[in-house]
Amino acid sequence: MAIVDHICVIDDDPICVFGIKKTMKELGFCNKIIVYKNGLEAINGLKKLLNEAKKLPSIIFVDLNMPIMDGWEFLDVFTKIPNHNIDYISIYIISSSIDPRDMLKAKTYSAVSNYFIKPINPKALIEIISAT
Amino acid sequence: MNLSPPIYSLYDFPIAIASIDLDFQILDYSEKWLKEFPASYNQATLYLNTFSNIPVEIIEKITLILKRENEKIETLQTKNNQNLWFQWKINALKDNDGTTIGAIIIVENITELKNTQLKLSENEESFKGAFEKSSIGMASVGIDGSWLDVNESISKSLGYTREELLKLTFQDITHPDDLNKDLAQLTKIINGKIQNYQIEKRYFHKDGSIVYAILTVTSVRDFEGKLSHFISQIMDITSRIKAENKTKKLIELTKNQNQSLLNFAHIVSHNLRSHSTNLLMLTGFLKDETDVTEKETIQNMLSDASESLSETVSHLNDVVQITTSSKDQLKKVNLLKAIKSVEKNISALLQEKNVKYNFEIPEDLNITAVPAYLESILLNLLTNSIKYSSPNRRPEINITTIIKNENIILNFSDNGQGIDLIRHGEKLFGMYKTFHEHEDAKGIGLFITKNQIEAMNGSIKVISEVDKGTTFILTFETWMN
Repeated sequence: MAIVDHICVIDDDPICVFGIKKTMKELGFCNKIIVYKNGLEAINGLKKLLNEAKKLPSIIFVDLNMPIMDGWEFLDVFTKIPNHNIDYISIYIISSSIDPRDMLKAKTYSAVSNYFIKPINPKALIEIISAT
Repeated sequence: MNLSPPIYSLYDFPIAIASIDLDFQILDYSEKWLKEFPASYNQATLYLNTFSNIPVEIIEKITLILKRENEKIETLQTKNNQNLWFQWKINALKDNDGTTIGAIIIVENITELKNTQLKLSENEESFKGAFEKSSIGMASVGIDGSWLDVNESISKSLGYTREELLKLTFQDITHPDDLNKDLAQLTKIINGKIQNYQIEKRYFHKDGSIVYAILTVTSVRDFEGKLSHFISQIMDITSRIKAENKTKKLIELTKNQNQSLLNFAHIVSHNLRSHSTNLLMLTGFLKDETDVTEKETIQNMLSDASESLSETVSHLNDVVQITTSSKDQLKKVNLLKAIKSVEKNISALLQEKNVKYNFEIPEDLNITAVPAYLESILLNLLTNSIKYSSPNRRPEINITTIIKNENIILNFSDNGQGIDLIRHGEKLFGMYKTFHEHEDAKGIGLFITKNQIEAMNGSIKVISEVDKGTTFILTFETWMN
């Protein structure tokens, strides 16, 4: 039995996406993973789901450093979408950045539940997500 | 001759006055005379007492008059052994026929006047000395701003001789940007609102260079309280300001270098870390993987990740090379020739994409540059313009230059897709930042370009409008021999 039905990963690094997928699969974390290569793709894809009233992912993992639209801009745009359903989505940052400035900045976004540093440690992932 | 108590009018004269006959016998005297030359009424002692106090030189002059060899001695000054000063006037005393029958002697104690005069001249001397030899520039300036007198220091600071300065006004040699604040204060003095003021201002040296000074102006008023002139003190602080500017520049440079070091450290940690993270993760998977196909996939990814790591390291190495070793490679480079050479290299591309381009650059424009960097910068900007040209119009590229002070500003503009600077402005010149959906976009070109241009003491800025075009503004140093 999966913890959640489906999740969304926004990351431009195929190796990283591969790693997340593999980890999730081994954990039996979810049934389905949607992947977007950058913030803009994610915004367009998620808006489409909203418009078509399709089921939204319960969790979004978003990378910070991405081309075209980075993680910060995605957060800015996404949290302003006028739809209540997005309030039920938990958003987690997954980044390879260990820059304290990035971590502090993440704290200023109330929509962000937590900040994971790559590579993702499966145990920590389960613990933190179960607790929230 | 009998000398009775005086009944003559001389007695009441408010000055020391006495008349004598040809034998130096006192005929008459005033009360004041007695005060200056005390004597009894006894005739014999009066003579002795009085004249024993009179300097020999005066006695000699009186003798000349009594001998009828002279008629008048005007204002002779003497000093006695008690340091008292007297001023003498001696006239012949004549009878009705005009024959000299004696002399009239007037004496005035001028000790106080003398002392005051002496003090005054001492003051004047010391003021003159202080004025002339002061290391601070001093001048008296007329109400109209003309120099009435200037000292050596001013001449030295401003490069004009005293004579040249006296033909000028302070307005003539004041930096135009500082004139109004000076005049505003001066007006306040003229209107009596203030007595003095101090400002920092700039003058022009005779050779045209700027002289920085602290000016103190004090008003001088005459007996009636009317403004007569100004005393200006000009402290030359040029060398101090120059040293300050040098320090400021140095601090600025250090600050920039620290900033770029910090940025670089961030880039290194971030970009290297993302690769090491992937390598770590993949090797972890590989260890536990039993499925053969999956194992192969992971191995392929592992080799991709290693390749990316090596590429990043080589990019970072390029940047280190740029920032550390370029200062001594700076040379005179002709801008037009450099652009023509790049144009030749990509002429096939320009033709293929049907690019309309116009380079308006004077032939004799030489900049200080590292030739290879300049080529790389121009190549990068040109290929970017072509790569991100708008699919809706024929690509156009214009390059123009402006000469500004010691710099040459190159405007490189195109009519391409443009960049949303509100969204991407901060990141535009960052490493591995890409903004367009283009398969070739790596996010390294502008990062390298910025590092190269900064290594040549230049700068790069950008203006852009989405779907209108982009202009890069590059600043280079003009080549100085």
